[in-house]
Amino acid sequence: MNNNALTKEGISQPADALIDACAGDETCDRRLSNLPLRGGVCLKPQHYLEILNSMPDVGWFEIHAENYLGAGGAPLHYLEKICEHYALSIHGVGMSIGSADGIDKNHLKRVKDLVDRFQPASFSEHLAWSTHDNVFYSDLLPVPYNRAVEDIVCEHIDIVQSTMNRQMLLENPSNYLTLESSTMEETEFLGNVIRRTGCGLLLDVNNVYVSAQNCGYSARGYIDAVGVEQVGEIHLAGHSEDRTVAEEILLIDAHDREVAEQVWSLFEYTLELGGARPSLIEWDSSVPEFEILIAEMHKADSAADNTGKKVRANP
Amino acid sequence: MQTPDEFQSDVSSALANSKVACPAQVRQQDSNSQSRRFNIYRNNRAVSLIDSLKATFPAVHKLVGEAYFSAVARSFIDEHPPVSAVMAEYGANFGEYIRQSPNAQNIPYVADLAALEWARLQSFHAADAASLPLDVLLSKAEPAQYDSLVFTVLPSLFQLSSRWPVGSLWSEISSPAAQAADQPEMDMNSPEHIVVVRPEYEVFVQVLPESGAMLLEQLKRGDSLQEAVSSVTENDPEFDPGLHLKGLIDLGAFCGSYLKG
Repeated sequence: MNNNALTKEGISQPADALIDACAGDETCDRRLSNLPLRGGVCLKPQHYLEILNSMPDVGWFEIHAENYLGAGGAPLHYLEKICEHYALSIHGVGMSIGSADGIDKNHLKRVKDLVDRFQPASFSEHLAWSTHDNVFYSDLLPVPYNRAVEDIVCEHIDIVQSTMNRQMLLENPSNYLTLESSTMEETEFLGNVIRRTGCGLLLDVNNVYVSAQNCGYSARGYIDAVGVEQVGEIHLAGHSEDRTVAEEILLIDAHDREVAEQVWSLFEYTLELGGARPSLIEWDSSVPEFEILIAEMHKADSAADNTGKKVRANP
Repeated sequence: MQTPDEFQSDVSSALANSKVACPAQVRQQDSNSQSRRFNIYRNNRAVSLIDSLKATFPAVHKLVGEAYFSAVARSFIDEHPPVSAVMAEYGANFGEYIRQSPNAQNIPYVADLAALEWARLQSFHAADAASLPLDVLLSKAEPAQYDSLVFTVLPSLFQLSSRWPVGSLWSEISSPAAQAADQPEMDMNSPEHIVVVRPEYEVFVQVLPESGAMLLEQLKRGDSLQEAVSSVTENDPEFDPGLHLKGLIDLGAFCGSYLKG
């Protein structure tokens, strides 16, 4: 599992350098990604032609890496066309960063080749595992937050960052349960991983809200603790409710509807703390007309504008 | 304390088998049962993999109906789980699995229909190559050497032969007018030879006459034009090579040519 020559020191350089470069300069842009500082939307095949025909005013697009690993064909063709006009974020969903088995080198190579080909403004993955004993479980499965897992996650992020020769962003998960062998909070765990590897944070505000509701903690407290200055990108998505036990509703990170009001409000809270970030509308199931995604993106942009005004009015 | 590997083994076993209890590590938090919380992961996994099979096999899904497809897919994902996160590569043996499922005796052709849909998916993601017209294919040789030319097929070209007319069945089921669970009325006792090819970014399915299919098969193997034509003529003395070759070129089957030997 540990067959890559790695230098953690070498990898932590980019983020440190970025932060150091900003030291003492209040106007300095501390963004941890090169994405445009505005709203983006997820790229879905049913919208390829509409995007190319109408060239909508969209900040950037995000794809799931695993949908573009074929040798050729329409997905790569349309992605290439769209990238001629828009910034791109590549978001992996199958790297299994938290896997106790190690990183699948073949999968990493395929994703690296995609990143090399499209040179996206950002690459991100999840704090989760999905593969064990060569079986892919097709979900983002939870890790306990303890030192042993922290070492595994850091080692794997080092491998990804050194293989791709770039910084990656790590996304906080949606939690449906907590685990007995966790010895620290998720925010502390993420902070340690970010400090040790120099990766940035992809803050999924919907995941924060879903997890906080399901596991009984404060969503705003999470945002306060996680350190918004490390956030290189924000995700926004809709969640569903499991009401099979009426008195105890569980929230599911379904990505199948509009962003909930409470999540918009948590998003505004995040922006007030840390300023605007490239913010993505995710929608992966029951994908709507493109204009619905655009309307959601406009809401994100307006929230960023309004918060910017508020922050300036109350410095 | 459990090691990360022990924990992931526990979770994996419980995900792969709904009879295995939810892992002991899941903390009791409230009166919401632990298994209710863990079942969200079980459900996410099952739904995403079943949806992926539905996306790969839409005609099989329509043919057998939602309830049956989902039931068979659910046992398939436990017995043949994916090894890769790339869903376009999952389900190669699903057609054979559904053919052997308990209530599929009256649809023995379902495996071939699935094989056609699998070929379409492989074609969709295959490496790009431009189809060439006849004059370009012939330009690699002097007219006297045409017999020795070998034509290479597109990486997106796949051939299937079935005891049943699954190419026609696929077209019927896939037409926008077809209703779900509408069993198409067709004579199922006629074999079909089918070619799947993607000249640009759209995948085409075409039923070929037997001799045309044989010609393509021989050319795909690397036979020269003369070798391929004489093989087919042995079988079919009436064979018109010009006509069939033109048909294949019009389909966009070839992306290159070279002189044999």
